[in-house]
Amino acid sequence: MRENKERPQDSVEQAPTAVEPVHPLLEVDGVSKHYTLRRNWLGRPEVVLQAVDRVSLKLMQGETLGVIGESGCGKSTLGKMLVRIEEPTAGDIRYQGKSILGLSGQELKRYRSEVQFIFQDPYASLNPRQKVFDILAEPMKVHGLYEGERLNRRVYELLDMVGIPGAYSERYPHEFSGGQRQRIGIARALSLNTKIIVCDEPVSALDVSIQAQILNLLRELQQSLGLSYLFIAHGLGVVKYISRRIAVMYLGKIVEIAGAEELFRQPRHPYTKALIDAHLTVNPRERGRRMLLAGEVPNAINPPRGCRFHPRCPFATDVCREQEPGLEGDGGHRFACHHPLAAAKGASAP
Amino acid sequence: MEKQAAIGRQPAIEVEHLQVQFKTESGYVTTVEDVSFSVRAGETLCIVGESGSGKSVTSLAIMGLLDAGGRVSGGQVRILGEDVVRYSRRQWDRVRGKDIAMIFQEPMSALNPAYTIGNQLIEQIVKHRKWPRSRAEQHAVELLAQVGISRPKEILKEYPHQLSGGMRQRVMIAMALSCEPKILIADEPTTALDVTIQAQILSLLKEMQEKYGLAIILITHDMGVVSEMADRVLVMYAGQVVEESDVFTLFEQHRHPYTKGLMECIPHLDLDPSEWLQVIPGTVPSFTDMPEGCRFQSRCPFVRDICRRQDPGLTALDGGHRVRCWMVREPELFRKEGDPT
Amino acid sequence: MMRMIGRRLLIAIPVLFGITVLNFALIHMAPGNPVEMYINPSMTQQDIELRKEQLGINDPLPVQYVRWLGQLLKGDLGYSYATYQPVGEMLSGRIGPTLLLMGTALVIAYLFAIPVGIWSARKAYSWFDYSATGFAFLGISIPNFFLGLGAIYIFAIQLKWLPTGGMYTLGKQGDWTDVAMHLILPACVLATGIAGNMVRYVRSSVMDVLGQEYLRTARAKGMSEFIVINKHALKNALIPIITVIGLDIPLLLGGAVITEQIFQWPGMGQLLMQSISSRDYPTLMAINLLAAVTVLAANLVTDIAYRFVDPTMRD
Repeated sequence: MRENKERPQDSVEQAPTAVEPVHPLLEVDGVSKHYTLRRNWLGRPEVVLQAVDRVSLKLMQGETLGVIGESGCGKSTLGKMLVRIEEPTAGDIRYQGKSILGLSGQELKRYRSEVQFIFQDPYASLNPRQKVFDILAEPMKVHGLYEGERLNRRVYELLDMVGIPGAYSERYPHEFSGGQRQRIGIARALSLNTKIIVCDEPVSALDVSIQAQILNLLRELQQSLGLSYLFIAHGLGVVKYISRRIAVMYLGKIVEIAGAEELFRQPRHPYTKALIDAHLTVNPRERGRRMLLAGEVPNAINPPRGCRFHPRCPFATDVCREQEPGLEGDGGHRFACHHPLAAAKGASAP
Repeated sequence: MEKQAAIGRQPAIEVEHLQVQFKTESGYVTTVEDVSFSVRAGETLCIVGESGSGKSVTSLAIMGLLDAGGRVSGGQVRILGEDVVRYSRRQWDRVRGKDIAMIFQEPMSALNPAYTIGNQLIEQIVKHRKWPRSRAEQHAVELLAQVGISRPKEILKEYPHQLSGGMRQRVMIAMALSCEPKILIADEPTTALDVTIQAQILSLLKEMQEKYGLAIILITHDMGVVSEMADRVLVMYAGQVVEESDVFTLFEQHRHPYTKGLMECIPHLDLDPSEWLQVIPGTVPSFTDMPEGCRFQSRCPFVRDICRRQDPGLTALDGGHRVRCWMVREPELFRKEGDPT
Repeated sequence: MMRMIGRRLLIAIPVLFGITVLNFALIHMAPGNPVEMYINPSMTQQDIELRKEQLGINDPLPVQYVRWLGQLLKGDLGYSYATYQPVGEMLSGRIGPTLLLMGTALVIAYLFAIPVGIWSARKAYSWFDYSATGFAFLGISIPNFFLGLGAIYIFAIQLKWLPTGGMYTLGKQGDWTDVAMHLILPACVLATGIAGNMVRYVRSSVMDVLGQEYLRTARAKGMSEFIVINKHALKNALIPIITVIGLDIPLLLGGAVITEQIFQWPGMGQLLMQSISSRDYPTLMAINLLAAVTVLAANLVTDIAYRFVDPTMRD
């Protein structure tokens, strides 16, 4: 059993004591991403895909915020907006208190050097024509962070951090396994002044035993480097393992957000409960005693009126069909539901 | 060749010492070695393993669906009592889709995008049951309703890309069951699906099993699926079976270090936040570079000399529990380290 | 669908306009003019200038263009400077033979190329595949004039099996067998290039499809290999082929230029060559316009065909 590591004295990133613990490092404020698929002849939007709709959350320094949801819930789009691969159609995103949406040129570059992204597909996210050395060196060169001998040393340092032998730096991506490629992707994300990493399903494409290796690596790095993660995934166990707090998304909205333990012990939103129940335990004696959610994962095009979950919710009433619930609850545990589940002790039966 | 299998007594499918080889530049390489199991009507066998374990190859081999370059080089496969290993294509065409059926992982790529659902369903029914089209169409509607598709009549006219992943998988299940096979092979049927849909599909499979008395071989890498569905489990590693038992024994009294490693590296929901996942170091050896002796040696925390010299073979324990491990076969060799379990 | 067609038709107008302007400019950039092509010793400089005036070719280019455009919009393609015939009549006389020649060539090419391409894909990297690909390259690379001359030499002159050129034997007008005999050589020569191209496309497309999972599903259902290939694989493989066919269609009108010269086939290609040498501007403009319209129409038809054949494109 491994114990939690102490943060080493000579860590690369110093704990930013300048930022008060109360202020979030990254703040998402009412962010939406709507894609207009078709306009009528007047130019007015006719068919709109609401990938993300008025989402707000806060990422504190040194923590991992997990974002969980099924396909079409908008979690990937949200992640991409945080690094400005996509631009929000509404709302604001603030890093260290300052909006990132208006940034350009040098300032944007600086933002990008501090907030990085890890992709899902280890086979597609590395340039097959670049040697690993160059894949890691390039960002640093572009940002003018290191050069010459210092650059070389830094590349080897990074490879070492993620457990890839330095001798492999002259190889090409196709010579590595999926797990190794993901490590290279992580090394790349760490190469700059990284403070935040947005991880978009980083382990979904990997075998179970490799998943565990990568998850442990991410956890270690967080502790030794003081990183903050926004961890996007659809696997509950994975998200719970690495996150301190978790946000549950459904059809572009956050339906529940709470501390990881709390969320699983006392889910308040029926969808969260269904997700937890659908997640199969590894105990064959506990088979089949769960709430099965009916219906399909819906389309984000022209979402249902009122609460977006009402077509599949076993507890839906008229108010659910008419009025969209807002996020309520106390600061630690918030949920958007007109009829939240009772805060029962050790709730496992519906 | 329609031999009736007495339900529940004679196995619907029996595989004995199956060996599969693939052609490479340097000749044939063995990828699946010495796999044996049997499944009866109403029973579910889960074959669990990671990539490179040979689980998918095994399933394709027993259906005669190996790509060109692959061949069954040893062993027997008996479907409803008939040995099918040497079957010709024509013989296979009469058995596949009728006595034994298969569903695949990615329903989007497993369905032909250029033809309607109805077309793909009906061609199979017409072929095997020799019914007129109208009757086949009616049956298709009933099948779709059975697998939980609302508005089955409309769906018949739609194309795969118009359906969601869950619906496509239901369609695949309907297709597989359309001629009432005795055996169903499901190769990672829920891996590509969302978690809530996965639960629905697994529940559907169980329902269909009861209804049709199916023998199900379910291939997966997800221990949760195993826990939910299996009666018996086969754990595969690097082309071999390393452990075989009923599902309760597997989760509660597994003996092979790989099985143990698999169980411990899964982040299940009850983990304490301060606990770390136990990781199996290293990676699966490639088939062209397989070590002498036990194939798990490079990653096993209990490895001894004998493991490097000789393959332990399957040792039988009580209750149909078999393990491929020297610790089980010759426990005295491992006494010094304390209790091997 | 109708929306798309409407939009395409609308866009076609400025495109055609631009094409005709460009064509007009290019044609007039070639040195010389129609009058000078027909000088005989008895003409004086005055006669030449008079003639030029009459034809209106002394006016500035834009003026000439607008004049032409104005006539066009009234449905008048003008009169040939060389033959004094109405251009429309000349063209209509030529379209038939060209269509016949090109149509036959395309049919021969596809009848050959599609099965060969499919078989090549199924037996990829076999001797059949390599020979087929080899011949395909030969077909594409060997220039039609070379092949044409060679064919005439071998089949018409040495073996005397087929006529050396023209579309029909004098006096035998209306005899279809006669036309067929005249058609064989040029059509086959033309077909080599088209078939060579098509074999490679078909092969590549079928190979793509052969690797698809749904074929495995079809086999798992117990469908015979015949059905697997000819029903399941083929329809998907043909979808990209449609683009290639769409690109070949414009050839129907203009692709036979050189071959028609070699075989003295009285089609559009021959007319085009003659008009260029004689600087017959009206005819040239008309032919170019026709070619442009054909290409645009072919593209539109291809796009529509896609929507019918590929269900995923049918919103």
